[in-house]
Amino acid sequence: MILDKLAHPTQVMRFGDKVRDFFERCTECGVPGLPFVDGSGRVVGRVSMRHIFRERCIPRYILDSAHLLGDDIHEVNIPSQSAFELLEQPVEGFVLKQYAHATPNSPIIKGLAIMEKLSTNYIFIMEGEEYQGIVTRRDIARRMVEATRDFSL
Amino acid sequence: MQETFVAQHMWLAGGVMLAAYVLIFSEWMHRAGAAILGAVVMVGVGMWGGFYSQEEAVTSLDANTLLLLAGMMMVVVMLRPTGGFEYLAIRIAKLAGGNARLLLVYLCLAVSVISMFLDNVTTVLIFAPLTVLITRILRINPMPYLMAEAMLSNIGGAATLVGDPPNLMIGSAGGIDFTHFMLKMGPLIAVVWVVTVLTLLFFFRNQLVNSDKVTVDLDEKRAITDPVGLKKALAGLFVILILFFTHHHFHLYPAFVAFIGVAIIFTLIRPNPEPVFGKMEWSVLVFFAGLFIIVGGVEASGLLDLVGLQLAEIAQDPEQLLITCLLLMWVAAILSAVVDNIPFTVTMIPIVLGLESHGVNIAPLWWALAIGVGLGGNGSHIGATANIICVAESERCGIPEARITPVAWLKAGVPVMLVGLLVSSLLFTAFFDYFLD
Repeated sequence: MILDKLAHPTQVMRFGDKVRDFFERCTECGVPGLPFVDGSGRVVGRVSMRHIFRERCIPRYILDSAHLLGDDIHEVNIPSQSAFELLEQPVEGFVLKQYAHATPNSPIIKGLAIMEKLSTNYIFIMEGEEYQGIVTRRDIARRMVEATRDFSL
Repeated sequence: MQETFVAQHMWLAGGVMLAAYVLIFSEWMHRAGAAILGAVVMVGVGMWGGFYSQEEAVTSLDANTLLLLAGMMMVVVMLRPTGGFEYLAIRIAKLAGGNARLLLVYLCLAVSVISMFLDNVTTVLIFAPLTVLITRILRINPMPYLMAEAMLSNIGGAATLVGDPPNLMIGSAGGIDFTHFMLKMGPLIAVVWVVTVLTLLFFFRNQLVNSDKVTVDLDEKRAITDPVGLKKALAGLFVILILFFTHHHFHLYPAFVAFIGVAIIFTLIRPNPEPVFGKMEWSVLVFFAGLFIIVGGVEASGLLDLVGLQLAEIAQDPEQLLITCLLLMWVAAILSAVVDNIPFTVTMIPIVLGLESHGVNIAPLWWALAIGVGLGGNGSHIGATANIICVAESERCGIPEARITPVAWLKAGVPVMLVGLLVSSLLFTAFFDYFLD
């Protein structure tokens, strides 16, 4: 089985888009990240929900002690004002240059291996420099279940 | 002709050492790399000039210091992931019950005591982020706590032979055992500790306001991720501490004592060695080794003897010895506030040792040097590694009022350093006879 069968097209992020736009598009598409393209439409990186939360919402001192936290720690919770300010931030400040990608003809094992290697849950499907869609681990799992159900794997 | 050669050797060796130290202090390259480069050049120049050989370079390495440091690093590396430090920090926070001043005293006491026996950098690395979290939950500014922890960990480390790398070197060079070191330095450092805490409580009196919230909702039981490993590591550490206090009776080197503990912990835990060795601070060990070789070259050139000869003329006079000690203490402190105290200590050790051959009682000079380099680090934000860690934590936590700027550090650090040195100088002068052996 190849990744092309699983890829579903999504919107991309561009200069000037805000974090709010990114969160909306991600939730619409059900993906944790999207490609970031330059003026010519070429993919130059990715924007990741996890990265934004880690960078802007979870201070290191809380992250290190995550396993110790009780529920009565509202003093260190994310204030509404900070959440609002974050959503108005331009998305280009959160672009990660490294992104997992494969061609439409790549087998699933290659996609899974790249995702594992880069510690990500999704991979962009690219034909040359042209973005075609995204495949998540969930897509692969779903397809495995469906394929074994009708014995066509 | 011979004298000309000797003078040339001194110039050469002194030049190489100066260049290496400039490279180290400028931070143009990592200090370990600079020390390696300096050591290689020193040996090369020494061989070419005929005053320093490869064999002499190898023998200039203080194996007791290097192995003791390596052994204690291994203990800390195996103790750290068990979560014992985190457990202690949370228990202390709960014990303070929202009292801001009490919290500062308790946290400082904990980091000081741990720093007396283990690496203070690791202690501060673990305590600093937890301190920020605890103070945020209690709605208190973490800044005074971070600064106090760094300063008091430096002071705590000054009390023992293994608390601070310069002390390891001084103890090794002077043949000073753990108990003797602690008996001499401990009482003085205890007084300095109390005075420093009082100074900090006064200095930060407006920020140390009691919180209306008294509950710190952190679960210390979840901190201990490996209770069995913690018990085994503490058992090994216990043996080390017992042997540190008694090693002179058994004629054991402190380094060997550390490795007895390491062997016990390795046998009990049987850890995967790769993570243990991977987390050790090899760059620190290499840095020290490089410095030993550099200073060994300068010593072989005769330059340090010459410096010692000049100092001996003053220090030989028993009445001038106290002045020499106080001068050494203050110079060491001021230099340690500005630059890394390790190169200074490594350079001073052979000079002090050389004075002994001129009939000078060098015992008080060791204590003066240890006090100076131990307390001087508090003067500036770059004076000690613990300070740098706390400053970085204050910047990383993203709380504007918690940020420790260099000026903010100077405002608190200089008075703390000066008060500590003044108290030390007074005690040292008043009880000078006590420091004569």
